Amino acid sequence: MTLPPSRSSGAVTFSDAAAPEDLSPAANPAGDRRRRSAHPASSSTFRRRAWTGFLFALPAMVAVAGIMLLPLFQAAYYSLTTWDGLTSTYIGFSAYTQLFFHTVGIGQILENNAWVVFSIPVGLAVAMLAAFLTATRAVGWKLFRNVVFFPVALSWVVIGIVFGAFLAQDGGLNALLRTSGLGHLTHDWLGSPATALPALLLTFAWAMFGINTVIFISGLATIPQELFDAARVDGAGSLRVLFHVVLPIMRRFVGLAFVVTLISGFTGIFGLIFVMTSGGPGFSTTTLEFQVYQEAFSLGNFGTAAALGMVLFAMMAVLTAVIGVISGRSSDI
Amino acid sequence: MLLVIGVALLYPVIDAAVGTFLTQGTGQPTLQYWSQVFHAIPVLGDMGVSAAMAVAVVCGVLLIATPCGYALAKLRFRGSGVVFIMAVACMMIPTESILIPEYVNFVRLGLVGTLWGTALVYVGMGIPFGVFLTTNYFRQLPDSLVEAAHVDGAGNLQAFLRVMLPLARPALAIVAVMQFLGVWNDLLTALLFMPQQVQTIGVGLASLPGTHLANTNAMVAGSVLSAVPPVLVYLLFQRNLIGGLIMGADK
Repeated sequence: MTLPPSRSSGAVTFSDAAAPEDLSPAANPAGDRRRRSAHPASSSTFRRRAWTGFLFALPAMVAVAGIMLLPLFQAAYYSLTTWDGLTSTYIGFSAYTQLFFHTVGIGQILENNAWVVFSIPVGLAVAMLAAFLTATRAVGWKLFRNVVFFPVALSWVVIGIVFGAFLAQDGGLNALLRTSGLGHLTHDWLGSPATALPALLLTFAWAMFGINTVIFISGLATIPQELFDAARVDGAGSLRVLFHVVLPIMRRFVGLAFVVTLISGFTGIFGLIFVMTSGGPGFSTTTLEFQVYQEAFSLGNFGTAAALGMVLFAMMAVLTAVIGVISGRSSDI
Repeated sequence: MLLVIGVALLYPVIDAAVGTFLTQGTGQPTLQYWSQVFHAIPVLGDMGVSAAMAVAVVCGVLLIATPCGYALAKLRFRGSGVVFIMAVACMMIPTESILIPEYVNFVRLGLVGTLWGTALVYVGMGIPFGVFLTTNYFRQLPDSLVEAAHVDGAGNLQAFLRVMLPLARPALAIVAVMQFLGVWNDLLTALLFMPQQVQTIGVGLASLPGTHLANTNAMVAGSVLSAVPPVLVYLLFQRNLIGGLIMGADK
């Protein structure tokens, strides 16, 4: 409700800010002396500057307050109610005990989110290896560097459809297995509960590989070449250089890559799940994020959905803080 | 080694894309899957909707976030530090955490099922990142540039528009590219807030399994086509994208 006004007030801000300035074109002798606070005229300049700044920032503040903060507070309140979107009944914190003990599939869903976390180090290890090979100019490093980042441009829907086709019963992976004499391993990867989540996580890792590799490449670029050379002179092999020279320096880049991947895995892959498996079979590929949508728009439990959303928010806050402390970037992000 | 990783990375995409030109089973060249997807959904129309929406959101975010970023960096006011911290904090809020009340609010305002309502959600959620990035960028630009503009008789607004804004072009490009890709590639917000008759390409593609008009190969064909604009944007702005990532990371 606050939003349409905020858009027009953006325009008002510009003209309002312009008017007083235009009236006093010569009000800047104080600026020449560069001692703003000492001079009475300059202190009014300073105040006007602050006022203009406030007007500049106002539309953004109003928009964010209306579109992000207001719904966040509402979600916090509605998470303590039973709510069908129209009428809500306050039930207090028992909403959360109900959530954790009586929601169908909640155990499986939380477990799936845990698997997302566990899968991240595997993906990061491969990305680190690739970045290290690129930094040491292994064969094809230039081509690789240019190609590796491109999944960033693909949507989760597109990735989901492409990998859905690749992993299907009559898809590319099974065809590959058949032609290489491993026909007995063919499998409906997304259709069976045992392999659906690993297949989904593999696709997720594929999609995040480029970003993580690029993060690590730019991290490696901060390491002076002499350090590599010195290690080589000391007779260290590639792997020893990687473990004893590179990884300690790369700690905060690993932390960053972990957080970026975690944020995507917990809050960004709705489209991937929707297209690839719709959360199934059963709950085997449903994450918290996906269940928020299901609770609200398939089951009509808006209160439960709001509570799940708050749990997700809390998880993100705690996990990013923990990773921040571990990787020594607690003050960032 | 690197080449092995590269090939393994690209193989699923190439395999699926090549499959759209071959008849299933016999492997004869065919265009039937491509015509199928065009019959199932208005692919080009949906892409047009996505493009229009993405451009509108980019403009909205730049228009609202950039002055704010400038103010937080150069026209500091009481509480501007708090505003910056709030912007960073809001970047951490998952869409799903606020989506349910957002949806209900927008239903009450009659904005669900409208293009404006959808754009508003995207813009509002894009602003924190825009503010964060432009603030950091403007902070790097020396204050003396603003002072010099004032000496030349420019007011706060002219100093911003004529001197500082042109210098901030790299940051604006990063915000624009990130927003464009974000909107083009989104599913959840579009699924809930867009009008039934007007769909983005993401929703169009995601709805294909329900239409029974398109098989897997046809869906891949549509996906490949829909990926062309964002991949072009990516190729054009690759440096900005990586720069944005590092800037967001290094702060």
